[in-house]
Amino acid sequence: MKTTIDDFENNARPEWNKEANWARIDSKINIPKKYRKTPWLILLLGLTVFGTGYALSYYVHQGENKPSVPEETKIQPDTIQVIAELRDTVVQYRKQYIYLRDTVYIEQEMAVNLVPKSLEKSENVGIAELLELYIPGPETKLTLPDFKPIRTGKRTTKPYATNVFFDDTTSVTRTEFRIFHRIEGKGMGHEFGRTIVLIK
Amino acid sequence: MSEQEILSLYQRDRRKALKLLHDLYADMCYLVAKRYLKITEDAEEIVMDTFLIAFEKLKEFQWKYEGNLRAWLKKVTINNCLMKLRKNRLVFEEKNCLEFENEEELVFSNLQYHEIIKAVHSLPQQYGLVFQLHEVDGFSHTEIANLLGLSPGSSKAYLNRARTSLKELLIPLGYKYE
Repeated sequence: MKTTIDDFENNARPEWNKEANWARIDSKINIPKKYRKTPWLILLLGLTVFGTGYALSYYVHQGENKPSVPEETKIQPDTIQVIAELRDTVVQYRKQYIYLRDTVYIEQEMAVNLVPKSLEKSENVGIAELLELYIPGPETKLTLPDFKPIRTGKRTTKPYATNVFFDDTTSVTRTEFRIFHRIEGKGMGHEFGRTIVLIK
Repeated sequence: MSEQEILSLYQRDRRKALKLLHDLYADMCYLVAKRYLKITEDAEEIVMDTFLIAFEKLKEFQWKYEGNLRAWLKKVTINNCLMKLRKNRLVFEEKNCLEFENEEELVFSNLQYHEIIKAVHSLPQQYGLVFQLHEVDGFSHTEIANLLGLSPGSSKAYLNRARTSLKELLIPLGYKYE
């Protein structure tokens, strides 16, 4: 009687990682079927979320998605405190490249006098505030002096020019003051210096 | 545990039944997949796919006799291998159906399993595939033609070339051809 390959394969015990193979099967049969073969779907979903977030972020930074200005909001000289609180938030996320934004509102007269003094003397490494002022209505362009470059060892951050838009009508008394904290990641353990934007 | 018992267990505990089935037939499926695909990782993936299909489709399986389930698993394994090969763009050409000789039985009495597989793997992939489907796994030329999208005549031509090549390979090495 001839021994066939079929007979051999039925009785042979090949050397392979059978247990690992079962473990992989077992892990898959515990997942509902509809989710089992959809890593590409998860990837697509991830990309969609990322893309949407990116697009939204771009849109917001263009200044096209201006939030409505609440009537009762006024920033008093304690604005420094507000900014200091934001800095705390920034420090918590310093391990990553992030872009935080917050919005405060100040009176127009205060905005005119806004000078980012402390940026010049900051010993901060890799962090800068980008200030953007605008108010609703017809826009008159007014440019604040460019921020000076901040020496950061081998690195020099770019001067962040800030375009400020003011309404040329007198009816508008409120200015939206948006603070962008941009942290350029320099790895873990990096110490940020104190950065406080002063408002005269 | 018999196939019938595994199938009845499947009604109550699908995971446990699949584990028993894996214990029983995973080696066979692995060897079949390895025979078709050569690469260990590919073969392991095919075994996994086969048992995942079994996990879903066993409820529709009509058991008829002992060994029926094994044969079905083997067929699923082979189908998965062919799908994998198709993804790897294995191309078949139509052959002149007058090319084949009389189909005599090809028996090498003193060959070991791994020697046969090694010889088959040294053939062009299309030849080896048709040879395995027909000579080892017992598919008819019509079935092979359907599986590979060929005419039955081309399947015969591929088989004939495979047999001729195998003889040329093995006889000089001292294997007796009966």
